[in-house]
Amino acid sequence: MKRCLLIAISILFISNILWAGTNSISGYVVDGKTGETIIGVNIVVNSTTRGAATDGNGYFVIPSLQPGNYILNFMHIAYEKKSLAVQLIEKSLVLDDVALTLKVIELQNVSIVAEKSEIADLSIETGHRVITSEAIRRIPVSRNDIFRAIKYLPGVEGVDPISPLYAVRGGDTGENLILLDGVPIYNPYHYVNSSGLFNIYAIKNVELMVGGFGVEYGGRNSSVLYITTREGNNQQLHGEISPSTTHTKGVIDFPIGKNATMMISGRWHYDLFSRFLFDAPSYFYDMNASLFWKLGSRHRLTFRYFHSYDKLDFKSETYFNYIGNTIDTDLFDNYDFKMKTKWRNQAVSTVIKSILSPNIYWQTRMFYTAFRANNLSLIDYEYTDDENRKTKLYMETDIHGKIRDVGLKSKMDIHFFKWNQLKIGGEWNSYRFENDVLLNGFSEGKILRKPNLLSGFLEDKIDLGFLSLRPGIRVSRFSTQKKWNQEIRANAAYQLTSKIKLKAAWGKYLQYIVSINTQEYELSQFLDNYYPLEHQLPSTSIQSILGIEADLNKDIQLSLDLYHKNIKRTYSYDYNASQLEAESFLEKLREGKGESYGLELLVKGCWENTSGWISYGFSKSTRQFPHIMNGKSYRFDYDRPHTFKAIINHEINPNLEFSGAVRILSGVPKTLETSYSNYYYYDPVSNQIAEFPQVVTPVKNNIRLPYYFRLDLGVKKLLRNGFGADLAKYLGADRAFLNVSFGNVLFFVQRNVWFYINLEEKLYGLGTNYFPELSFGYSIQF
Amino acid sequence: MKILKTSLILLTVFLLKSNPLWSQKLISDSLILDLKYTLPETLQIPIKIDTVLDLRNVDDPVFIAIDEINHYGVVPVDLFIKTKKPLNKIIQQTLFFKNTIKDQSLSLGTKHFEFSKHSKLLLFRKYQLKALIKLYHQTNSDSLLAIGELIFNTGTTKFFINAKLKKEYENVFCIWCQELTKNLNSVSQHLGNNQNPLPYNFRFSQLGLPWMQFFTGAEIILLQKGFLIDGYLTFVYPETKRLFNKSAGTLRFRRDKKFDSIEYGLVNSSLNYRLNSKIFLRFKYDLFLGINRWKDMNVKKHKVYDALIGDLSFSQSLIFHPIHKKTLFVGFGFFQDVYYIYSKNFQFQPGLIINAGLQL
Repeated sequence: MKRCLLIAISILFISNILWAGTNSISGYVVDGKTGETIIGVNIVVNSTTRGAATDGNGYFVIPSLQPGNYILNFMHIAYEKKSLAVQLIEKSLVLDDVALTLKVIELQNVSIVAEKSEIADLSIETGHRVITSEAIRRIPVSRNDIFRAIKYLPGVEGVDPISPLYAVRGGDTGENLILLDGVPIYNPYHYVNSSGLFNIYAIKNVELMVGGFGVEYGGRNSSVLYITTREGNNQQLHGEISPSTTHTKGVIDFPIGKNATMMISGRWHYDLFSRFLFDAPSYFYDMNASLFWKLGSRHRLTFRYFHSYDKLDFKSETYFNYIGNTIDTDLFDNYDFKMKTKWRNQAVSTVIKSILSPNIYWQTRMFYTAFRANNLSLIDYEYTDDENRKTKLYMETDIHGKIRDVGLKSKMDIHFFKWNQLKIGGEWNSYRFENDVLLNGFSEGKILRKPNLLSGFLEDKIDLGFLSLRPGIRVSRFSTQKKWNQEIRANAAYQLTSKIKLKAAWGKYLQYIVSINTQEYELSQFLDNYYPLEHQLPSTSIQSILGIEADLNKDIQLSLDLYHKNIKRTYSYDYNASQLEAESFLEKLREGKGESYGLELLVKGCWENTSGWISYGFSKSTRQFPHIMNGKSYRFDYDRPHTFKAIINHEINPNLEFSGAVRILSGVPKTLETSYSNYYYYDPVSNQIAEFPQVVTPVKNNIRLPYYFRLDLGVKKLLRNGFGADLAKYLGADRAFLNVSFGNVLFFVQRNVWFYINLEEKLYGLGTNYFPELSFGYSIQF
Repeated sequence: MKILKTSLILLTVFLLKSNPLWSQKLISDSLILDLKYTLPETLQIPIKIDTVLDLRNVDDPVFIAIDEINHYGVVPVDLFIKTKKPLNKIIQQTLFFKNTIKDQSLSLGTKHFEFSKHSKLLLFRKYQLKALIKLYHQTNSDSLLAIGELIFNTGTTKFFINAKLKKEYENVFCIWCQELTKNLNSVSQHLGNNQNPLPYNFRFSQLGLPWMQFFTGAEIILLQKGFLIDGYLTFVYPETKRLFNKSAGTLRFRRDKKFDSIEYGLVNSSLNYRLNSKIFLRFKYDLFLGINRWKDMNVKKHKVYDALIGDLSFSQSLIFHPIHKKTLFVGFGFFQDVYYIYSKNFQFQPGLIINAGLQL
C-alpha cells in the first residue's frame, strides 16, 4: 500500500516536471490601500471556464494556457471587481501586483466568521478552524487573547479555569504545535490570567487545524495553531493604542520607501490594582517587529523578531487573610500557596518567498527560537482536627527548562496542471534541551540533550472536479535513532451536491518531543515542560476523520466531523516511581496507549448584522499506562464528554455592537485524594531521615468535576463625546471606541469548581467565577 | 432557575423589541439647522465685514459636526449636523450692516464651529457652541493680516422636557451672533482708539496653540497623618470668561500610617476665577472611591469591606497659570478631606495643597 502510494506520487511529480513548458499567468493580488496580500481572490479568465484563486501568500497561477489575449476578472466579496487585459505571447507571464479596492458599503456587514485560510486548503481539509483577529476582539472577556478565544471552538478544551493550556480532541496539551509565522513557539502563554503571548494588534489571522492536517506539518499529534502577523501598511502610517489600568498595548505600521513596510507592536501588562491591593509584583511584556521587503515582482523577504518575558510572584496570605476574616473562617490560616515563576520566549526568523518560475512558488524559512523557565509552585497546608491530630500536605515543584530550536524549512508549491498541485519540502531542526525537576527540594536529575530532526515531505492534490484527493508522505529521523520513520496521510473531498460536500482524512502522526504532564503536582499547570524522546520510539497516533459540510444558505454553513484517534504510543512522566526508586530521568517516562473519539457539530455564519457560531461536541478519551491502576484503562485528564459553545455578535449600527459568549462543558475527571502515606528516606546531605507525605488513590481520575457554565457579554461603542473622543481628536486619530465586557454574568447561578479539598471526609470545592468580572477600556485607532 | 427563566424572558423581549433596531434608519440621522439671525439696530456696529472665510478642515461647507443621539433610549446613532446654506455665507449675511465706516473693515475666518450637548444634573441639558473666529485686516497690498481671534463658548441650559435639539442649537446660534457682534464692536472701538479695551475672549493669534489643549498636573496634599498625591489628565478648550469651570478625571494615591489607597474620582469639579492674565483662584471639590492596601495585612486580618474607601475633599488654591499659553503652572492652598472606611468610620483631616502641571 505504502509502496503503491509512493510510486503514484513519484509519477505525478515527474509528470509535473516534464510538463514544465506550458504557459501560465501568475502573480500576487494585494489590497490597494494597505499593500497586504489578499487570500481567496477568485481569478476568472473571461469567456472561459479557466481560473484560479489566490493562496495563503496571495499568489495565484493559471497554468496550461495557449498564447493569446486574455481578460482576467479579479473578484472578492470585500473588494471591487477588477478586469485586466493581458497578452500571453510564448513565455509564461508573471504580473505585477494586482491591487484591488475595498468596496464602499454604507452599512458594513461585519462578519466575525472567517472563510479563507492562509495555510490550509479548505476545499479538502476537515477539522480546520479559522478565527479572525476581528472575531477575537469581539469575544467578550477574551481580552483580545488568542488562547481564550480558541477555547470557544469545538474540539478545543481548556484544562482548568486559570490555565492558558488547551487540549485538542482528547490529546495532551503538549501535543499542539504552535507556530508564529511558521516558527515554533514552545510556551506561548503569559501567566495565570490565561493570556497568550501574541498581541492581537499584530495578528492578521489565527488558524487551528484540530485534525487531518497535511504532511507539511509534523512533530505534533493533536493540532496545529498557525498565527500570522501583519506585514504592515505600505501607503501610510497606521496604528492603534489601548491604555488601561491593567495594561497598555499598541501597534504601529508604516511604509519604508517604496518597497518595504514595517510593523512594531507591543504590550505591557502591569495590573496596577492587583499590584497595589495584594502586593503582587507580577508583570509581563511582549513585542513583535517585522520588516517586509519586496524585491521586484518575484521575490519577497521578511524579517521577524518576537520577544516576551513574564515574572509571576504570587503569595496566598493576602487573599486568604481578607477572605478568611470576611467569611469568618480559619480554614485558610495554615494554608500557604505560592507561585514564583519567570520565563522568556524569543524568536527570530527570515522568510524568503520567490516565484522561481510562474508555476513554482518557493519559500524558505530560517529561524531561531528559545524558551527558558524557572517555575516554582508550592502548596503547604497543615490541618489539626478535633482530636488534635495533625494532617500536613506539602508539595513543592520547581521545574527548570531551557529549549533552543534552530531550524531551516524549505518548500515548493508546483502548479503545472489545472487539476494538480504538488507540494514538496524539507525541514531540519537542531535542538537543545535542558531539564531539571526538583520535587520537594530534591533534584530528579538534570539532563542536557542536543538532538537533531531531519524531515521531508511530499504531497499532491489531485482535483477531478467532483472529487479531490490529497495523498502525502512525511519522512523523518531523529539524530539519536537510526531509523527513518514514515507518516502517510491522505485527505479526500467529494462534492455530493452543489451545497453538500463529504470529506475524509486518514493519517499517521509522530511526535519526538513530549511534554511532562505536571497537572497533579502543580496547583495549575500553565507551562508545558518539553522533553526529547531520544532513545524511545516517537509518540504515535493514527487519526481517522469523516466530515460533512453543507451550505444551509448563502451565509450559513454547517459542518459535522466524526473522528477517531488511536493513540498507539504515548508517554507519561512517573513522579512517584522516580521519587521512590531514584531512577534516572530517562527511565521516568512510561510508555502507554490510549484512544479518543467523538463528533463535532458546528454551525457558523452571519444573518443580517448578526454573526458567530454555535457548536456541540461529544468526545471520549482514555489512557492506559502500566504504572497506573495496573495497566487498566482510565478516563483521560482532559476528557469532557459534552460541550456546547456559542459566540454571537450583533452589530446594531456602526456605533454599537453587542456580543455574547457561552460555554457549557462537562467537568473534567479528577483524582480525589482519599488518603496519604508517609514515606521516609535517607538524605546524605543533611545526614537525616526525611519524610514526606504521598497521595495514595485507588483509582486514577475517580471523580468528575461538576459541569462548567459561563456566560460573558460585551459591548463596543464608538465614542463621539467625552475623554476618549477628545483623546482621539487630540492625537489626530480616526476613531475611539469604548469596550465594556461583563464576564461571568451568571456567577450567582453557577460557580465552576476547579478542585476539591478533602478534609475530614468532607469535600470543599474551590473554584473560580465567584465574582462577576467587569472591565472597560478605550481603543484609539489612527 | 427562576433567575434563569427571568433572564430568558428578558432576552426574548429584548430581541423582539430590537427587531426595528435592524432597520436602516438607525445607521445615521441628519439635523439640518436653519441658522439665521437679524441683528437689532441697537447691536449693529459701524464696521464693514469684507469676507467670511471657512477655514475649517471639512469637505462640505454646510457640515457642522457629528453628534450622537439615542434612538429608543438605548441605540446611539450618528447625527450629522448641517446647515441649509454654507456656514460662511450665513455668518456674512448675519453681519451685513447698512451703516459702515469705509476706512474700517475686517475679514473673518471660521476656524472652529462646533455644536455639542451635555447632560447636567441628570434632568438638564446644556447646549453649547464652541467657536474660534479669526480676525483679519486687509492691507494695502490686498493681503490679509491676522489681528487676533475671538473664542466662544456660548450655551444655554434647559430642562430636558422643554428641550428640542434643533430649536436649542438655533437659539444658541442667535445668542452667539449677539456675542460676536458685541465683540466685533469692542474690537472696532479698539481699532479706532487703542485705549478702549479688547473683549475678554479675544486673544492675539497664537502660533502653534491647538484648539484643545492637553492639560495634566499633580497635586501633593500634606495631611496630619500622611499625604495624598493627585494626578489628573484631560483636554481643555481656551478660556472665554473670567469665571470658568475646569474639571479633569483624577486618580489619587493616599498614604496613611496604617494603609495606602488608590482612589478614582467619580466627581471632579472646580470653579475658577481669574484675577489677572497670570493668576486665578480655584475652588475645587472631588468625590472619590478607592481601594486600600493595609500595611499589616500579612499579620492582621481585615474584612473585604475594609478594602474600600469613600472620600470627599475640598480645596481652595491660588494658581499661577498664564492665560492662552503652552505653559507650566504651579499653585498652593488649603485642603479639607473626609473619608469613610468600614472599620474606621468617618475621618476628617485638614491639609495644605501644592500643585504643579502642564498645559500643552
